[in-house]
Amino acid sequence: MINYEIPKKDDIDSIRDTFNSLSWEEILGSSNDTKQKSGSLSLSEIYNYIKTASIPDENIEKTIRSNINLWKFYKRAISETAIIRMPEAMAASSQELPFTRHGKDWTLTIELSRAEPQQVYIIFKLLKNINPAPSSIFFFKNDQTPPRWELPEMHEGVIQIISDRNSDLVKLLMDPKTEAYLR
Amino acid sequence: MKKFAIFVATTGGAIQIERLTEERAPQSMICISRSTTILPISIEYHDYVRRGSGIIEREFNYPGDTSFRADVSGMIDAGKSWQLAFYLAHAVTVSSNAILVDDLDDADHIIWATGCVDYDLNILNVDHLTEKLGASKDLFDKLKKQNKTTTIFVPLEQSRNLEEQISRSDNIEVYAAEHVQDLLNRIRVDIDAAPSKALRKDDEIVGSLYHPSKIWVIIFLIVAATIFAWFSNEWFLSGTKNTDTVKIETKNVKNEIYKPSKLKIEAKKIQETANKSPTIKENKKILVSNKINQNINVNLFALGPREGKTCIDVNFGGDKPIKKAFLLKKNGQLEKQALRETCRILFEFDPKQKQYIGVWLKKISGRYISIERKPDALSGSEIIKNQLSWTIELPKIMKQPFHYRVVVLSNNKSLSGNLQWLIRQANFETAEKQLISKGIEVNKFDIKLTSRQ
Amino acid sequence: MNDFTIEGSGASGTLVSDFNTVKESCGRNGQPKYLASPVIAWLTKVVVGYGGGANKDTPLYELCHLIFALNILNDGVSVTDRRMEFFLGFEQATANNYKNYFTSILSNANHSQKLVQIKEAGIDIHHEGGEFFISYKRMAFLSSLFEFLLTMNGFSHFETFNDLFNTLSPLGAQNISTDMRLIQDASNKISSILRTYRRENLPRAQHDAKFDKLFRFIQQGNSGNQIAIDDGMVLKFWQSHSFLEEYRIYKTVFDSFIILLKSLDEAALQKSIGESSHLGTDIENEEVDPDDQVSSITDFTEWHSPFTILDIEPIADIKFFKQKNERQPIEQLMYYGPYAYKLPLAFIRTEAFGIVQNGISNDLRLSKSPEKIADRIKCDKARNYLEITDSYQLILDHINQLQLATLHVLNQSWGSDVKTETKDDEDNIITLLDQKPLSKFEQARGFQSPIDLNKEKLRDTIEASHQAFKSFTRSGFTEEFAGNSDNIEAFRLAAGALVQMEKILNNFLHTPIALEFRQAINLDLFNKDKELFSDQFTTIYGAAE
Repeated sequence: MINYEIPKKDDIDSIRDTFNSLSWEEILGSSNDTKQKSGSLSLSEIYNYIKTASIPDENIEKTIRSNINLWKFYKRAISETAIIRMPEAMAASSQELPFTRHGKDWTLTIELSRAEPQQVYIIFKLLKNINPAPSSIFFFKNDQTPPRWELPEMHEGVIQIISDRNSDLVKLLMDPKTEAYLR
Repeated sequence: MKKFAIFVATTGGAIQIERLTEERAPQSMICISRSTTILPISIEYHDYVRRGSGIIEREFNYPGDTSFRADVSGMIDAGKSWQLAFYLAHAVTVSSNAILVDDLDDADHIIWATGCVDYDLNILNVDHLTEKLGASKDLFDKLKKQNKTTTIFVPLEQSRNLEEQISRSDNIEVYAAEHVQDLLNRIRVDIDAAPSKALRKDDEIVGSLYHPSKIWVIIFLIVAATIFAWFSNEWFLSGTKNTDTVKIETKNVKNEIYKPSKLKIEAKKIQETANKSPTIKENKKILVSNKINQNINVNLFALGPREGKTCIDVNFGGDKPIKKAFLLKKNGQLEKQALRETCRILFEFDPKQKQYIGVWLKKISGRYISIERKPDALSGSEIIKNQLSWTIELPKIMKQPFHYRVVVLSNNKSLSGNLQWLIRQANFETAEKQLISKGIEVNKFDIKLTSRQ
Repeated sequence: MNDFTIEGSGASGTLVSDFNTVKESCGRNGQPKYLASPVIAWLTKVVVGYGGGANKDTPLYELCHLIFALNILNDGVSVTDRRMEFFLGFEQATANNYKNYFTSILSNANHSQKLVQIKEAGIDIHHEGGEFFISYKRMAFLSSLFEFLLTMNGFSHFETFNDLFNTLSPLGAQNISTDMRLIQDASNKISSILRTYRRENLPRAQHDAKFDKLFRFIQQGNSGNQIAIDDGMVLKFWQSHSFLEEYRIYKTVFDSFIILLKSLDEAALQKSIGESSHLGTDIENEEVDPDDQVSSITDFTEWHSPFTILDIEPIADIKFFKQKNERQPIEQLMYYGPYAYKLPLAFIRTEAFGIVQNGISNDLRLSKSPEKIADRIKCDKARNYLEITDSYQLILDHINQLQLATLHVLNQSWGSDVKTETKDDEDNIITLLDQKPLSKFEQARGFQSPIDLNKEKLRDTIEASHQAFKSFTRSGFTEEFAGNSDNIEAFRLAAGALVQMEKILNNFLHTPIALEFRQAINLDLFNKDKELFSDQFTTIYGAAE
């Protein structure tokens, strides 16, 4: 048997508050013991994925794109850690090829292929030594959630891709409304 | 012109090098059959092309920063044994007596090669030779059946006992060598040949038609164009838009004062000559087709520096160049008015009626520098009614003659698909015939500029 | 471990989802970023508004200070990037990681060293009127809080908090007083958002109703100035209220009573320490150090099962308990700790009949045959009370053996510090403070130098410990393993947990009711309870059918 003094009216409210808090704590604490993972992604997991994953994880990319707030966080994390930043252009540039855009320490050129006129070369030239070289390019445009593209290995400061002229990648790169980040 | 189909030996089977194209990109790449799939060995290929680390640029006299796109029929794994086949493919591409084809049926000679090539062009041993031969058995059987001349190139030190692995056949030989020159000699591919041993000046441009019999056709075309065009046509009459007389100085050519009136006389002479020529009647068809071509004037100009200036001032300093038209010499060759230097070539396409025009600069040798993008309208995708111009720049140093064939297609329908198709064809003559049979007009001019002494 | 899962009963799915997102956050190695105990347990309190000692906003205030310290660092990195790197970038939230982070950054940054100083245990942030200290261990807790705040409502507050945290920068060396204002304002804003979140996601109504019902019930049974709560009250409440869904499960009722006891204890504690509150109370600090936590067995409000210590790496590599026969029988006892022997009979009833009732609920859910359910209702398979207490005794013996084995490991690590045979007695006699080996563990936890021991007793104890160690042929009990310094540290930490376990078991077995069972008195009580529970189950589930 345990004895307590009968609490005063004011004290009862305080005890009731504590009872309420402890009850919720019990409920949340009991969820600690379940073995099943809820399947959600934490900000830590997303951040570490952005910083360390060498190849994209489809499940994570899909989860990020399904939640607008996660997408905003994703964009913030990418933009803060990007090696190269391509902000929205101040004015619409020519849509003709070759297309060139200059930035701090980088140049992007999109050049028609002579061999295959429906294909283009996308050429990133990095003007200073960057190590490690960027391996992905991320796009952000309004509320859209474009996929990320993996970049080939950089060689002598150049990252070069061949793409179809009408590919989404080319369209995004030439769209002045697109922000792009390489990391 | 001998047609070669070249295969790279791999343990997964023989992979054909379908095409080599000089590109506008900084890095050379290998793609699978015209797709955007890039092989992982592209970086090694880039290094193989580049001067300093590789041999292609150096051996075939390409200027620095040359890059290629190679289209191959399948995957080539890591390793370096592809180097020999690629060397041979590049050699064939630059040679004056051979071309690379992708159609096996069209090829005169099949090459299957495996070997590393070092900086001194020695052929080094490779791994898995037996597996590679085994993997290509089906190909060899097919070539045997077709009785195609086939040469299997291997490193000298690995040539023993190969005959056990390849069944005897009249059309398939195995040849082992230590040095690439041995192979080139074997297949008689000449990468050093120039059209003429005579020294040519840098400022002479010799334009030769592909078939001599067509000289009179051209003459007639030119004369017809001058008759129907207004006298501001600068090709043969005045040489420049500015009709003032121009003093021209060259190292080797006498100073001439060029007066338009002289040209008129020459034009007339050409006309009379043309009319008298029996070949005109014989080539009636061509004449007829060329009469239709008179709807387009194709004017070529050489752009050079003003007195006291150099091409550097023109190309980089923005100095306004002098414009000199191509002339037709009595022997049917095109000659430019003498200039100290030729920095650029200007093409002017002037339709007399609304037409689709497709223009292709087909490389024979040498290179040019693209300082402006070829107008989209010259790709045959737009109907044009006004004059269009396009300028290319010549490299300062030319170790190989600048030799290009200007191919002009014209039609009243879109030509972009036809032009792209033509560019991909290995056999130009056959392709030309097909286009003509579709009612497309095809015109060709060869422009050749020899290197400076 | 709680066998009965309560899934968001009342708590909104949003809160449970947000909370689980942080709780389940893992590094690439699959290990949880935040320790279940004490970090997640602490976060639970903060989320429900219980943490922080007397001032529930204390954690927010601390967090703002930490962010302020990070924002001060001037190493060319953007404040947002640094914040993300610090709070989200570590795969495991450990004191070492945070210490290394500050050490490496502050060694490069210049002027910020005036405002933020590295100390051995944490960082000092300089303010007008003094310093604010945050230990590296504390940063793990604050990181979990940071991540939870940004996770709230499906990450919808990320931008708001990010902008708010960006304002926590010093305005200049002359404006330190304004910095204090900034931190307080930021804390208040976060507190406001968190309060709104709690209001939306933690409705009070059901718990208030529960409290009122319970409190009224115990008041009815009492008179005078005091209220008495005993085992019988728990049973009676259940019997009279089991027609209500929320009180159908006996264990739920037991849990509610435990929470009530904790609330009453908390109220009593608050009263005894007065109304004053200050930042960084001792209660809060104790939560940081697992060693300190397990030592405080009288602190009912802060009890955590000793198994949470044994589950931490690398202690978990040592197989102290086999799951089925050694851990499972005492899992619940360790979970409830001191409260188990406050209501020992009520507790033992959950052990015996709670499992039966769980089985009935499962059978109903899985639509098993009525015969099977009826069979369960008879409670024939309920564990006898004597059986339960006997198993506790066996496990207590096992724990004593484990203590000896641990002593052996620790003793080996001390080497010649403690000698059993010496030539010169006078130089090596050490006096014994406590005859029992228990004292060795007290020393071990406190990193104190070896105590004085009677030579002979010591020799016997050492020999016994050696034998005990050899008797275990399970993982972790090899000389090679035990010789590794990291593993010695694991044994040292485990020693404290073993002491706690021993105490709980001992206290429980010495409760009057347990003594009666062990002395074969009142054996009939089980049969009576069995009949009682069977009847009640019939009432509950017979009516449900």
